[in-house]
Amino acid sequence: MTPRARALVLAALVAACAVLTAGAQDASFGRTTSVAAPRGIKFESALLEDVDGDGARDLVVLAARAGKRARRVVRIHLRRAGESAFAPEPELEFDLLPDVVGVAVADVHADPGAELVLLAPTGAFALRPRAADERERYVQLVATELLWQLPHERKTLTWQEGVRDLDGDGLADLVLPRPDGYTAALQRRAADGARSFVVSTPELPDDGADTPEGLGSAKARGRKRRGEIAVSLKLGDRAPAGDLLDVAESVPAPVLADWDGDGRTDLLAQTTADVLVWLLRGDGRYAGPPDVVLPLPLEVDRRRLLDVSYSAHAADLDGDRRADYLLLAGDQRSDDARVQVALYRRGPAGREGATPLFGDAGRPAQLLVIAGLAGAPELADVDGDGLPDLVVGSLRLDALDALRAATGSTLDAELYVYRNQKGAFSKQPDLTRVLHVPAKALSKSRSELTARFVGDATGDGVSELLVRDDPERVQLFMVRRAGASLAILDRPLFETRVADDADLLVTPAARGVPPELALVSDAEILHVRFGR
Amino acid sequence: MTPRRAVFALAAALALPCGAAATAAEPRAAVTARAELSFAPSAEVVADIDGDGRAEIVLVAEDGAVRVVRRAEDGSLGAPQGELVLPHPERTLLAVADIDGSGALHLVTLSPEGLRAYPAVPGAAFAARPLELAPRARFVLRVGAPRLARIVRDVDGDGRADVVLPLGAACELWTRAKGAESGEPLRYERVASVAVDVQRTESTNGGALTDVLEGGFRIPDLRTEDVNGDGRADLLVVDGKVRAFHLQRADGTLPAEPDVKVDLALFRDTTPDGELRLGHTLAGGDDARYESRDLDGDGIPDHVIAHRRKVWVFLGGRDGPQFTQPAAILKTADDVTALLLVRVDDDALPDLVLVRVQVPSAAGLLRGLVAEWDVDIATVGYRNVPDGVFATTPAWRGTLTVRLPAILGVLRDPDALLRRFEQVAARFRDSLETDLDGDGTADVLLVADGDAPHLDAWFGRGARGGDPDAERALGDALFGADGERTWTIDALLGWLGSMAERRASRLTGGRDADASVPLRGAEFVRRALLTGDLDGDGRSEVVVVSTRREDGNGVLDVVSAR
Repeated sequence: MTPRARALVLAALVAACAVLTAGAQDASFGRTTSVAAPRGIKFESALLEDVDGDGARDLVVLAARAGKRARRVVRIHLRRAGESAFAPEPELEFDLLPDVVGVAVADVHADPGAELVLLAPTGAFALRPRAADERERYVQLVATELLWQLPHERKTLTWQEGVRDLDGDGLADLVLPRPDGYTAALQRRAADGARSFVVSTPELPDDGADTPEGLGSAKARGRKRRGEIAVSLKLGDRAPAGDLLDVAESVPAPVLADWDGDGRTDLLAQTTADVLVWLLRGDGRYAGPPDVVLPLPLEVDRRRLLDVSYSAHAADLDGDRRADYLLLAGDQRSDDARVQVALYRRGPAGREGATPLFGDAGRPAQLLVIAGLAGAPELADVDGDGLPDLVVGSLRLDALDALRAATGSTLDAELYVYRNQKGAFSKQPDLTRVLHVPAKALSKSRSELTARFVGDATGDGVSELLVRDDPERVQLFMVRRAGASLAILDRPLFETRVADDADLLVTPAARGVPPELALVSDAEILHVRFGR
Repeated sequence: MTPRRAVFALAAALALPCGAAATAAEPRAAVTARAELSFAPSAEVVADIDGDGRAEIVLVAEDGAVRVVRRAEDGSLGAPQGELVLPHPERTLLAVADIDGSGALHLVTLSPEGLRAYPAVPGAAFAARPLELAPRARFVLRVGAPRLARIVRDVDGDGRADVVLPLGAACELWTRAKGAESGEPLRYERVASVAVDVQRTESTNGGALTDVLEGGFRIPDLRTEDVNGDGRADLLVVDGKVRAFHLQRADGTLPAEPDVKVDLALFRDTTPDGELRLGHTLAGGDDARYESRDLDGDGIPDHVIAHRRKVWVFLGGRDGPQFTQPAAILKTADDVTALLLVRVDDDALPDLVLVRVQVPSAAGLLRGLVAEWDVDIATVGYRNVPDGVFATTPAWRGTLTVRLPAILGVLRDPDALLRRFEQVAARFRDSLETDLDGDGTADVLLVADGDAPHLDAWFGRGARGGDPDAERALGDALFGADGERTWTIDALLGWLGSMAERRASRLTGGRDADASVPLRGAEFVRRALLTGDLDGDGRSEVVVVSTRREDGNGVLDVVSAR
């Protein structure tokens, strides 16, 4: 599963923005490198990906030049040996064309290293910045309609989650969202090194769940996105005044996982009615209609969609190489705030029957109940046993707790880790961490509060915990195995002050490479690599 | 049962949802025709496209097929006519308009093929071969299906149709090229490209099956208003923090470059940064706020800009807006969260209302997690004095407290709160005006949704205009001595509900409806209510366009007066 930011539940309440800066000071475990924006440049976002093919992550900065008619610019800082990970000045810098909507990094061309994949409304293109001939600078990879069709003057979307080796041939493939489904492009390499793509277009069925609302109905609408709930109310007559054109398109986020255990990565999506599965075939294509349609085991109505705890996840939880299903939902029948965690495991391979996963009765293999307003789940291998563990945040408050919080001006949230015991989670949390969120954080809408396990940074096989429960501070805590249990050390391995409006980019540990961070603010990127 | 009643009962049984009576007597309005369509409409217009004095129903299907439905002599709706299929249905904006000034209506489209106009064919539909008005006016944004939009309008007020081409962060204005009057083919040419403030909704967060990727945008319409009192519509542009004004010339042209431009970022109060701090006044962000309205009664809009604790007032004149000579500069003791230009007192001139919202303290906010919590709002009103500026000392002060429910309670079930607001919102009934009974006076129709949706009609109640006392009601709410000073959600909903009743009462005169016609129920989605005289008898009909939830196909119901 792609790494996710773990916004605390309470971040949903944050209602305004502010800008503060703070100097950075680091402890010894993490080595920091600061990259400052030159005069006239404002940093917008960043990626940490291997661009030059040396196995180390480089820093790709997406920025905008100041001025009324801003131009977007990409600055690539290649990783270098030594104390500073990056030079102050980028090794590569180029302007983005006006119709570029988003970017990703992937090796999609015979040129050495990876390319910048430019996403435009009409398809994906590889940028070859070192091409001698200007006409060969842009190579079309796939023609497709992209969900995101309107470029921004300053911002550039990133879609690194759509880059995966889907068929296990060692080549990066692409999955791009379209307004009515997805475009999958599987890369092929010819004997001479030339690249081509096998393209297929899985299509979302018209399930009727998204019937457009009619005139005069649904005058009040609610929507939930990460970190916010918004309600809009329309009073009076029909057409919203003052708009020439209003376009809203959306698709379920594609989840890439092996459904049938054949080693190829299948494509999953969930509507308000069904889980849909498109199987990757031997020829590198997905079918248009989904191969598997599984009706959800619960009704997903507006109340459910606004439920802050509601989320569903696909991952192999029992090690059989086939995706299982995890569902979190608020218990709507309970007087107390509590969340049900339902684990649906796959049946024996080849003998799942006519209704795989959910079964005829929709009964889960395991049901956990977590008290409080729980959410922001993450499936991460905390204990290093190779199976994903369940990490959930929870807010439990009664009047006394609230009074205590008001007195201390901090809000206590809890982070639970339920270890995966061969396909079932522990009935009680194996690890609990109390997070003290200062009340001032509630007034910072731009700051991202997070607590997530980022992989092993110390070499003991156990994942470390990254915490930003104060917008102005980032800490890394060591998690230690003590016999059969886990413990989080009180003293952080690393701590640094950060600008409270800095966006946090986390690259978890992978294949022995420790986790890294990038804190992106308008004028500076603070890069942190862990390990001594 | 008399034969007549038996016929009525039979008709009602057979023709539901055809008209039920408001009274036991023959209803004054009823559904008099209906039709089932074999396609899903994505756009619909009622207009007399062939000039025969009888309006047609123009329907555009999602696949681009354009069909016309006429009312037959016997009152029924005929079969859809037409062969035209638009070539890029997913990227087409359309309008039915008199594009060439001849009085005849065309189907005007913007698409990747450019600006085109399809002439109407008398007695049939639209010609398959269009007039190519501007091949370079290419519209390339995906809208999913042919979409009606205000692309044809007289932007510069010269009496001729102009075309607005939305491109994204800019809109282009195309006007009729010279020479069309002298017999040359009708052509349109680009005269201006105007930046617009596009709002985007984008989400790239993935990883969970319940995550949703979003790609959306909202392009505002071009705004025109006479800003220098010459009677001509000038073009107002909002581009980020910049406001620009293109003043229309006497010959009807609009300059490509604005005559007046103001960057709101230049208006800075040097008091400390207006950040959001718990327990302090909400500064409402650090951007300057701008409002425009005629303050001195000369018919020319004036301008007010506020930043933190400072308010600048600029009077517009015959030369248009100006932002160099402030008529007044007000300084306040605390940050301004919002400013309003509304009538508080009895005179006709708007007064200045500054709103300050007090952010709860940290302790208050944390207590608010589990208990009701208060947000205090202070309002200060400055009277508009006769020379068009505001008195330097406040004439009115008000405070009110908004009491909000416990935050965790709302988070647990936000839908419950939403439903309550929805119930109030439903009381703001959609309305339309048309001369249903042909007496030369507009009638009012209000839609009632709910379990038994229906359309109520009040004859002779049209042309009531806006609510002249709405501003005063707001002023009373902000400063009224006997008003409720603490507003709970219930009180807020009650106030909104009373506003809905007040609006309905203003529209209907507070009397019972003269007729009530049932509308289709929950199995249908109502798309549009359109009006036009379908049979040329001088009485307008209401065409209700709906789609069937089951298959998405359209259905038409025609409501007529009897």
